[in-house]
Amino acid sequence: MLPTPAHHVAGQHYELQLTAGNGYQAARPYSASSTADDMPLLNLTIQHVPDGEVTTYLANNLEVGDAVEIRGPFGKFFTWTEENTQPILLIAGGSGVVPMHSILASHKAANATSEMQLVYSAHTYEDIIFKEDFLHSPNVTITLTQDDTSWWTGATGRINSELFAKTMERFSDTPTCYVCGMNPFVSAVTDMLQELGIPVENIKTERFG
Amino acid sequence: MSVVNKDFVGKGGDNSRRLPPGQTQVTSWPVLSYEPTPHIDTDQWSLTIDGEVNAPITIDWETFNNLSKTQLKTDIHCVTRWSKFDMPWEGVSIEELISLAGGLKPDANFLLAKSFGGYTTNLPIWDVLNSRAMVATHADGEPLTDEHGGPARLFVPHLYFWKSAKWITQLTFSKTDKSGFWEVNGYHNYGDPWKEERYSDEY
Repeated sequence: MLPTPAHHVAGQHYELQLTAGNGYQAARPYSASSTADDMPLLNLTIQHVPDGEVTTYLANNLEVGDAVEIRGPFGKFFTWTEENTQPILLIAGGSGVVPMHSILASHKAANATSEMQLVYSAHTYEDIIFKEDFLHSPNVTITLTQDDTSWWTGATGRINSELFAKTMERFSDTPTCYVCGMNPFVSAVTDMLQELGIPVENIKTERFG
Repeated sequence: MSVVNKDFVGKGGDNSRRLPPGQTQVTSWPVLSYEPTPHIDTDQWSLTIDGEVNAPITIDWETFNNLSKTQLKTDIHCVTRWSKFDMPWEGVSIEELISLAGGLKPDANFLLAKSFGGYTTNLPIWDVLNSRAMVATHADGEPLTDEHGGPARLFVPHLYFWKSAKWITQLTFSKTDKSGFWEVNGYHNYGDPWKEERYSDEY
């Protein structure tokens, strides 16, 4: 809960800052998973990075009711508003799906009729974030890269040109592609998109390490 | 006044393990520059963000100062073996500047930062993303003086401080790495103070 509402646009991020007893600080950017309509409630969905300086504290020490410093919103580029009526293909790896959740939720909240699809690559079924919103959505394709469940009937394996081609059938025109995930994921996907003829101008990326 | 997060230690929260190897803590702020100290009037100042971005742009001082600011209190480590703790810094995050230039192109992998006098330094892109770097205008609550790189310098506190190029005027993103001034002249290409990456192996 924020003391005063902030008005972020879907896809933007906030900076979360931790301060140690001796004054030392560390800050990291985290994408909002909620829409601005939810203010003053702000949802940041954060994946624990083993040995991560900030996420380890958030996962192990932070308790309900604790205060943290938040600054933002930031980012003007990896965003979506309802004025944008172009077809949009969102491609996410792991927790790269967080800003996509905000974008899809905003698209839905605005009753937008523009085409929007999400292709989301997760390791296993357990790793899927936002299951409630994503599992039965006609706008979401999930692929499991380390699937160990026999009952999963969705896509498996890394995002490849075959899955991409299937997704493209749902678009009436070349979409603008938003790609978010770990650096190697973003590089691999953008290489593939370019090989498949998506112009560089149609690709927006957001990466984390 | 910052909220203190109980039991948060991180890399610098334990005073007994706060100093990277081979460093000494100082309370003053030593000045070390290759170039003679220039004085750059803010009405002559500009910052260009180009290379592998979608919409290369050059901005003036007023435009720059209208951007959202970020702040960080942290420690800095100079390759000449001094470290200074708890310095509050303020500036504009590199992500914000990238946004202004239309975002990175998919092939952007490195940053070459250039100073008014021609000094350059190179960094992997990852080291300037994730709120780890900014173009700073203030330190210790005061505008940066000429000798400390004012009116604006790069600020990348997790690497040795030569990477935090003074008198910044250009950020060029590129597909391939290109060594900067000190990196060509014997310093380490990356410069992690915790691994004592001071010098290149060839020297």
